[in-house]
Amino acid sequence: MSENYLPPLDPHKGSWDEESINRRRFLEFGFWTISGVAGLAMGGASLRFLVGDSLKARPGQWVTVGDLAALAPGQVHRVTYSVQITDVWRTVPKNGILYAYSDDGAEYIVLDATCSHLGCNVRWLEQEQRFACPCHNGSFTRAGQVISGPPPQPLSRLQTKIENGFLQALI
Amino acid sequence: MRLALKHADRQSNNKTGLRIGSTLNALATWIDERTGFLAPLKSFFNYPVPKYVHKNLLYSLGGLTLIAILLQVITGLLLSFYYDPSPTEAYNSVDYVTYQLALGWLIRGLHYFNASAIVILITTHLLRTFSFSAYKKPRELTWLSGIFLLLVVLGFAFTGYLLPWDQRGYWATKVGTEIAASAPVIGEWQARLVRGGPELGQATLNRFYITHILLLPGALVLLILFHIYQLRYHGVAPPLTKRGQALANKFVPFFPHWVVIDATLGLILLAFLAFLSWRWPAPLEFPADPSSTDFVPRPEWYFLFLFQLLKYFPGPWEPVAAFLIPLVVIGSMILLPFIDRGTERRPWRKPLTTSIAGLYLVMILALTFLALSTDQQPPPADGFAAAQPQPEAQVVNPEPEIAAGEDDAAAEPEVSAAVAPAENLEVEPEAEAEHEPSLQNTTAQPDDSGAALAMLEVLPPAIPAASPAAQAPVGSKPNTLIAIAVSEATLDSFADFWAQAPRLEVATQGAKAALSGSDQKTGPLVTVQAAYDAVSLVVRLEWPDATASLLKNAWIWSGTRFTKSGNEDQFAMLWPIGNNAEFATKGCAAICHQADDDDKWWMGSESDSVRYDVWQWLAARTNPVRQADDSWWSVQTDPTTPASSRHSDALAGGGYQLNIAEDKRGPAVMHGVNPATPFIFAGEEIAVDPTALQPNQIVPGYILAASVGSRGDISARGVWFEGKWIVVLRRALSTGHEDDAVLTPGKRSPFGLAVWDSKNGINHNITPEVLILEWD
Repeated sequence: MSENYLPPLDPHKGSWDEESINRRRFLEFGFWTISGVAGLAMGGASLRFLVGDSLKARPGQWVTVGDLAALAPGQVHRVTYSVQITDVWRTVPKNGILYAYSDDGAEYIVLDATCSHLGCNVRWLEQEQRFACPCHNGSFTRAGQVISGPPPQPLSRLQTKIENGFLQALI
Repeated sequence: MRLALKHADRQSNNKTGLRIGSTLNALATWIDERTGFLAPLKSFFNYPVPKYVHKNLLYSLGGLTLIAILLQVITGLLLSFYYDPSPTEAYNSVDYVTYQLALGWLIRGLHYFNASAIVILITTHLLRTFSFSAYKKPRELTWLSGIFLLLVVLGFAFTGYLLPWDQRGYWATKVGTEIAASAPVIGEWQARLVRGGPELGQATLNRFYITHILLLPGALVLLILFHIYQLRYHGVAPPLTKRGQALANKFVPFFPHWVVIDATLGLILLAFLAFLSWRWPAPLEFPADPSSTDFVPRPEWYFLFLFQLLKYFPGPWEPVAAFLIPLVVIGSMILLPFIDRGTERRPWRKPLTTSIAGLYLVMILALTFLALSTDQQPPPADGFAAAQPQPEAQVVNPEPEIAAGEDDAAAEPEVSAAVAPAENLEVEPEAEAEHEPSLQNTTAQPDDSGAALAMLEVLPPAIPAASPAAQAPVGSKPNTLIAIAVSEATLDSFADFWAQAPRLEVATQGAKAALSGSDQKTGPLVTVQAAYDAVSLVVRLEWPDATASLLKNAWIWSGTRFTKSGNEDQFAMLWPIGNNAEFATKGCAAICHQADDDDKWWMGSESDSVRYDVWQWLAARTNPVRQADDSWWSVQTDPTTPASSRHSDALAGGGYQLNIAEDKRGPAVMHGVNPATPFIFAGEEIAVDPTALQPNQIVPGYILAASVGSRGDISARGVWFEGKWIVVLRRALSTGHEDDAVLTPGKRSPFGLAVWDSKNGINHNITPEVLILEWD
C-alpha cells in the first residue's frame, strides 16, 4: 500500500512504519474534518466580520429643500444639502444635490441629482430643458424620465412634505 | 425495488465521485505541466518524519506556533479592514470593532490572546530545542533564525500594543521609548527615530503601524521560510534517549500523520482562544490622554521582567538593565551554538549551559512574579461597609426649607418646556406605587423669622422592613460601579436584585472645594448601585439629606402679595457622549471651568465635538412625573452666559413650565381643585385667584408634565424618608438620540455625579474622582 502512495526510503536511513501508514485514510479523514471545522468556524466568523454594517439600511432623513417662497414654480431649483450621517463609527457631514420643480407651487417634484446609470451628478441645462449626465451623456426630462443614453431608469424621485412653509425631502 | 434504487443511487454517486476525482486529477496534471509544482509539493507532504518525533508532542510546539502565527495574520488582516491609524480615530475604530461590530469582540479577542499564546509557544519551543541541544552543528542557523523569530514576535507585541491608542498602549510606549532614550550617546537620537519626532503622535503611530503590518510580517515570512527549509534540509535532531533511538529508523509521512496532530492542537488552541475572548473580552482602556497623571503604565505581561529589572538599576545605572543585561542574554542565546560546540547533547551532562539557561529562566520568572505581586492593588478600605440603617414604615415629617435665591444656575438645564394636555401625560402622578410616598397637601406654617415654610408629609406606606440594598456587598474596585445583569431592570428601589449589586460609596465635596481647594465643605456620601437588562440600565442612589426640599420657585401668599421662594434637592449623573480622553482621566476637572468671578463658573467642554449627557433628577420638577431631566452640555454658545453650554435634549411635548404671571409678581395659575396641593400637573391648573388662598398658602412654582421625546428618556423615582433620599434612575442603554450617551454592556464608561442639598441655599456637591461603570 505504501509503495503506491509513498516513494521508497533509502534503506540505510530506515523504512516507512507500515502499521502507521495503514491508518493513512483515517488520519486524512481526521485532518480534513478538523481543518474543515476550523476553516468553517474562522471563515464564517471572518465573513460576518467583514460584512459588518455594510448591508445595513441607512435610515431616511428629512432635509430642507427650501422656503416655498423662494422655490418659484416653473423653474428647476438646484439645492445643495448637508446632513450628518454615521460613517462606520464617525458622524460626518454628507453633502448632496437635489433638484426641485413645481408647475403650480402646490405639488413639488424633488429629484436626487445622482444619475441612475453610474452615480455621477446630473446637471440641469436650462436652455435645453433637460438634465444631462456629464459622464456618459445620459439625458433626463425635468420630471427625471430618461430621454436618451445609457441610464436604465429615471432619476430617483424623493418623498416630500411641506412644514412651516418649507419644502422638505426624504433622502 | 427500494434496494434497486439504492444500488442505482450508489452507482450514480460513485460515478459522480469518479468524475470529480478524474476532473481534479486532470486539473492537477494541467497545472503541473505548466508550473512543475506537483513534484515539490508531493515531496514536501511525503517528507519522512522519524517516529520518535511523531510520538512526542513536544516536537509539535513549532508547528503549533506556525498555526498560531497564521491565525494572527488572519485576524490582523481582518482588523486592518477597520483600523484607522490616526491619534484622533485609532481609538474610535478599535472601540467600534470591540463593542459595535458583529463578532468584532471575537476577532480582536483572538488577536489579543493569540499574541500571548505565540510568545508562550515560541518560548517553550525554544526551551525544547535548547534542552534537546538541537542548536548544535549543523543546525546553528536554524537556531539563529528561531532566536530572530522570537525577537520579531516581541517586536510585533511592542508595536501592536500602541495601536489602539488607549491609555495602556500610549503610556507603555511612552515608557518604552524613554528607555530607548536612556541609552548612552545615541539614546535621544534613537528615541526620536522610533517616535518620528520628540513626542508620541501621528508619526509614531504610522511608524508602529507600518512596522506591525508590513516590515515585521515581511521579516517573519522570510525567517519562517528559512527556518522550515533548514529543518527540512538537516532533519530533526537525533533522539537523546534510548527509547527514541529505537524508533529512529521508522518513519511516517509528514501528511497526514504529523500534520493531523498539529491541526488537532491548532483547533484546540482556536477553541481555547475563542473561549478566552468570550469570557474575558480583550481590554480597551480609555483613550490616550497625554495630560493624565493618574494612569499607571504597565507593559504586557511578557515584558514585565524587564520592567521589574529597571527598578533595581536607578539613575545612571538604568542602561545596565535597559540594554546591557538584555544584550548579554540575547547575545548569549545567539552565540550559544558557537560556544557550546561539544558533541554531548544530553542536558544533564552539560551542567554549565543547563545552569546558565536555568538561571535565565528562573530570573525571568522571578522578576515577572515580583512585578505582578508588587502591582497588586491594596485592599479597599472597609469604612464603607457599615450596615445601612434599616428603613421602617413610619410617618415622618420633613420640613422642606425654603431657600432664598433665585435659581441654581450651575445645575439647571434650559427650560423650554411647554405644557401638554393632561390626556397626553405618560405618567399618572396620582397613582401611587407600592413603595412611593404620598405627598399630602401643603399647609403653610410661619417660621421663626416670619417667613412661610411649607410642611409636607411624606408617607412611606409600604416600605419594606429591610431594604435588599442594605445587604449588598461593597464593591471591591475603587471608584468603580459594577452593574449586575438582571432579567428585568425595574424602576424599583426595593427590588430584590439590589441585594446583589455591589455598592459604590462616593464621597462628595463642595464643587468649588473639589476643584480649587479653597473651600473644604464636605458633601453627603452617596451610595450608588447599578443593574441592567437587555434594554436598560437602572441606577440606585441613596444619600443622607436631613430635609426634603420640594419647593422650587414656589409662591407664598402673605395675604396681600406673593413672594417667591424655595428650592429643591437634585441629583445628576454625567456621561461623556462618545469616547472622551480628557473626562476619562480627569473627571469633573475636565468640565468644570473656574473663573475669578463666581458668576462666571461654567460647566461644559471647550470643543464643539466634545459633548456630555446629563441626567438630572429634580425633586420638585421631574420626580413627581417620575422622570429625570435629560440634557447635553458642550461649548458655551455665548461666553458671557455661563449656562449657554447647557442644552435640554430635544422635547417633543410635555415638560415643566414656570408658573409665573406676566408681571412676574406672582403665579399665573394655581391648582384647580385644592389650592394647597403641593404640585400642579398640567391640566389641573386654573388662573390664580388670591381670594381662594389662605395667608402663608404656597402655590407651586411649576406646572408639571412628563417630557416626551429625547428629554424624557430617563425614568426616575425618588423617595425621601428617614433623613435620606433614595432615587432610582432608568434609561435605555441606547436611546437612538444623538444627544444621549450610548451605554454598551462590556464597555467601561466613565461618569461623574453631583448632588444638591437645598437646605439653607444651594449646596452643590460633586466628586472630583472619575467614576467608572463596569458590567459584571
